[in-house]
Amino acid sequence: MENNLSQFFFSGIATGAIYALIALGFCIIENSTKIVNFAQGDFLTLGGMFMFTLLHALHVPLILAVLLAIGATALVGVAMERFTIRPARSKETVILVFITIGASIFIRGAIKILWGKSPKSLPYFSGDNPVGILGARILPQSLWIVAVTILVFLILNYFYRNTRYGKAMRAVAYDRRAAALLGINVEKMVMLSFALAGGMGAIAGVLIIPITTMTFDMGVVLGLKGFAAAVLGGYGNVMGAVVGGLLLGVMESLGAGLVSSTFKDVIAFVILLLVLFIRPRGILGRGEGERV
Amino acid sequence: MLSVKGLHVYYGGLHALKGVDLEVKKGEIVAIIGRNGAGKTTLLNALSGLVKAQKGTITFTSRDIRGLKPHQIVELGLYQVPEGRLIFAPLTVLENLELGSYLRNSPEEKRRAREDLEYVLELFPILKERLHQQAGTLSGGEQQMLAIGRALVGKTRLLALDEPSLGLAPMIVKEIFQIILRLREDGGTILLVEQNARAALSISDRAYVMEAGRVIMEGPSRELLDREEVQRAYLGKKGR
Ligand SMILES: Nc1ncnc2c1ncn2[C@@H]1O[C@H](COP(=O)(O)OP(=O)(O)O)[C@@H](O)[C@H]1O
Ligand SMILES: [Mg+2]
Repeated sequence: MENNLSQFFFSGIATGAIYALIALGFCIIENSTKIVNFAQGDFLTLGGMFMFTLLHALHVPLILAVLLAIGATALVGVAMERFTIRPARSKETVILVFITIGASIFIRGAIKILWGKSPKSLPYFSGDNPVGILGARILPQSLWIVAVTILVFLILNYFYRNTRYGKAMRAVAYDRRAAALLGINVEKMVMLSFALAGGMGAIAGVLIIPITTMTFDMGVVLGLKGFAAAVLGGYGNVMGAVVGGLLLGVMESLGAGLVSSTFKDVIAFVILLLVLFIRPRGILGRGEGERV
Repeated sequence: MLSVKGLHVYYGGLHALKGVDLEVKKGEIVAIIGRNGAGKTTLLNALSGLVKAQKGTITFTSRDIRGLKPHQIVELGLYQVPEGRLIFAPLTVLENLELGSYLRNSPEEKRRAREDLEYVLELFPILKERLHQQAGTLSGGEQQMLAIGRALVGKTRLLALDEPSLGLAPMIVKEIFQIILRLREDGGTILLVEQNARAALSISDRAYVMEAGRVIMEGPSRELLDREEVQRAYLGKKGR
């Protein structure tokens, strides 16, 4: 039983780290545009598909394939901003959010046409010999997931707090007009944030797909879970995205393991609804104050 | 430095600027006064590229800037401190000021931005005490000082202020107007939009009076202060 508990816990952490990466993607777009980008989950699938083609059709070495998949998905993010968000940028937020839902459906359709409906898989980064930690047997891939998530979090945090572009993005998020009046190229910042969000999706994809299977529509559920994680942690908060993701992953895994796996996917949405009812700001959200 | 000719702005069907002419020379304080809704903010926003001017010319540092994007206009040195200040409330005072020098990115320019930051902190010592505080926690007057300071650490050639006295206590207004005078002494050029006509006329060199999208009077501020119609309409004095 004890072993089971730590098993559930650690596998929850690994899935949770993926939710965290997806939540960070939501967070990046929120922090520059105040819109919820429902295509975030599809960036994940897209990253996985690019990786699949790079590895199996073009025989690119793993590390290079990862980098190229991230780059290609970032470009899709840029294209999405350029051709769907920017032309409508004077519209209300609600309309922009609907546009992201449209983009999500479009990306999924394109994936279905280009890569087909059959499930695909990607190789582990470093084999499948489980490692023992506190009585749990953990795939090296899970360790990769956790390590990369921590790294991404640290980099993003540094970026927002200490770099010129990071600060400019926060300024744009808070007040576009004021940002533009200081010489910040608002459109460029928004585009950059979509590139980051796309890249973030691809990172999540190439990490998680080896331990699940990839289908063209996997982004829907994963996207919603990442969204739930972001809301749980405090929407728009970088630290909150990570905390929310890990918490959600662990609760899901424990819930599924100890109660019933039938409930696994329901748990995220129950939590999402509870947070929205009880504490819409999320765990680390500070209302009007600092989001980043 | 700035020359505006025959500027028209429409908001949909609303004709907000109906052929405005305006001139600002280097080293001047030029005031634009007029009641709420006269079109003062629209004029500044047209200069900054935030609203589109459908007709007319805007020449700044001998370049035609009409139709440029806001950030391109700022790049040329026209910095606007908008109505309502629009400071970045969740960021610290220092971060707000750093964003003011966003465009000064070369090592040489960074060095000059640091000097300008020292200058701003000397102008507004209160900001120095609050550097690491969230900007949203500042009082209204301090926020206005921050907004002005933020625009002064940029590549500023012309500083356009939109109602800096709005909602502030008379003491603080006086302080801010003193600072505006000091900026001119130090070689700055200022375009000052104000509803507080008396204060604006008493510190500016020249002024324009706007009404319903038009400039209805212009001239040296001293003369305008003495004109009966200005006194009656804008300075609250009863006519004879
Ligand atoms: N964004 C806008 N859309 C439509 N009408 C506007 C907008 N901004 C200002 N107006 C209108 O344009 C006129 C001039 O406004 P404004 O430039 O703000 O005047 P002022 O700054 O002198 O008070 C007013 O009638 C105002 O209602
Ligand atoms: Mg105004």
